Amino acid sequence: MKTVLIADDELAIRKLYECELRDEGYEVVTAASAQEAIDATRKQIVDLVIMDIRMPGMDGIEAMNRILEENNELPIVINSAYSAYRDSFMSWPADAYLIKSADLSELKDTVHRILDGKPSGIGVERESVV
Amino acid sequence: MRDIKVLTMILAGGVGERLYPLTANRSKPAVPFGGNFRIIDFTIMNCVLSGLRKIHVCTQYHSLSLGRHKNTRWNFLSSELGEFIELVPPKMRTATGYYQGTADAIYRNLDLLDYYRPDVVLVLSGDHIYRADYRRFIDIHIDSDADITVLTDWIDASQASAFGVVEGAGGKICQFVEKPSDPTPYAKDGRCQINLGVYCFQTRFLVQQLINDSKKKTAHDFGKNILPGALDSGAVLSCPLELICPDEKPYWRDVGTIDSYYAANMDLLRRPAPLGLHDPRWPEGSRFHEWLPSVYPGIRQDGGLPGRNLIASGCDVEPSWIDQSILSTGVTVGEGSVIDGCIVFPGARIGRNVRLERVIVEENVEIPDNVEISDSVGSEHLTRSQGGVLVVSSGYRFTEPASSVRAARPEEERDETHAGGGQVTQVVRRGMERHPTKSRSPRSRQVAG
Repeated sequence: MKTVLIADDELAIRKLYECELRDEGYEVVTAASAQEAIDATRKQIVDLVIMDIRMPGMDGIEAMNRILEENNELPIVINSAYSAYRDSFMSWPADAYLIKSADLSELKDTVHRILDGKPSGIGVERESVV
Repeated sequence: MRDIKVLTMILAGGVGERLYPLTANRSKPAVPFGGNFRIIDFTIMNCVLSGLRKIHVCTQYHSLSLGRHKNTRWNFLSSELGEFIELVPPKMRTATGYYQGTADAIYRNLDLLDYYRPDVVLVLSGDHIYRADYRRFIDIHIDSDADITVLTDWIDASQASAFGVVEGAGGKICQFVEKPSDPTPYAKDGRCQINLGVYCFQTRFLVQQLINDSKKKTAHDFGKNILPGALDSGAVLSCPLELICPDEKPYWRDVGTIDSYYAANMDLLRRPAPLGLHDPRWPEGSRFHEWLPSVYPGIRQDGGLPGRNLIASGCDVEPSWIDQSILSTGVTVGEGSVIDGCIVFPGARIGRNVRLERVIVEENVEIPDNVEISDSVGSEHLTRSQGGVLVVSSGYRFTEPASSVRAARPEEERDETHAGGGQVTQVVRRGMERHPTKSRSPRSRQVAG
């Protein structure tokens, strides 16, 4: 079973995504901050990270770059309420950039697209978001 | 010249292993060149005279001397006009350690590209000797609607194995071959087109390529990875150096080894020099002219046809025989010394009756009186290049036992003395104890500058 890490400082978002992705057949772990997300990727095998940007302390873009520095094949999906970061070169290493929405179909489609056919814990050939 | 927003990144972090020991305490771009220059001056000069004055220099290895040189030599750019030359060491923001390769140096500075949002990024090597008009290069890049434009030059195929060879037609590159052992299959009329390490990128294309490369296990190198990888996804074009060269005949040298470094310095002494230090683009009356070392005719002890010398400011030269040599700033030469085919770095002090032949003397080295160093004498513990050029490095001590300094010739007299707390074997050449003017007439005392 593929494991998805959800990094978001809002408890309600974490719970919502956790329920939805478990229903889709994924194992889910959560992190309430960028640092917790980095620690989680070090402690266990994670197949995909859904990363919020604006979190207390370190932001999600820096966390993404730190995670990629240690595991450059780990797919990361940025999931933010803000579109302003979409064109920042710093966010381009993400596999997808999603705007938070009450409709989770795009998020689920993206997770399926990236993880389908991917061996557990090993990277996939990814398309850049650009 | 179009209103194109350009960000200039000079890669100056190379270890320069093949130039060791000249790079023992400085990065390769900071190695002195031509008496009063450093290698990187040629690239920065090209930038400044091309109107590119927002310059980032990616450094990492022994960057102190490079920083000092930048602060003293290139301190006239105006921050009020938005001009700058900034050293960019590895930030360690996410990744730790040195830049993994030339592409990694740019990838780890994506925040700079994000901040300045340039239309194009000019990526330059800081360790080549050449003159080029980068604005013309950028114009050609824009006109041809390229994603990447690579500056190239044609060289004899027999020398091409040391470089990245480019293959293509009509300006479109279809293959990069990095340092081929046999370049002849890529030659046309006996010459190969080589990659000069000067690139102009569309910014978004560059970022895409860098990110794709960062997710692969590669050398993260432009020549080895980024350029070959971009051939399928973008328009990669070549621009011959002759199209953007301000001189009549293009000149480009990679001074990556002691021998190539020495040869490029010696090129400055040729008449006419294939690349004179005087840049035809310098504005009349500008201070650039003050950077030039003086040119003096050489004087040979052996009566051979003399060449020329470059002597930088502040040198103090007693009557001596100096030919085909370059004396950097503040060098002193004692009476009766013979300096033939040498490059002497700033602040070096050469004693009396010293004989040096094809030697590079490092910064602030003091060579005691009566020492002789040439390929056949006194080279036992010195770095010797394949071509026979010797390097007296900063750490070399002349107060070691006799055998490590020099070997005596049969016709010489041996004189054991103690100096500086250690034993030095001095060899006094017959005739050299006389004033040199009695045997031949070297020029009178010179104080250049």
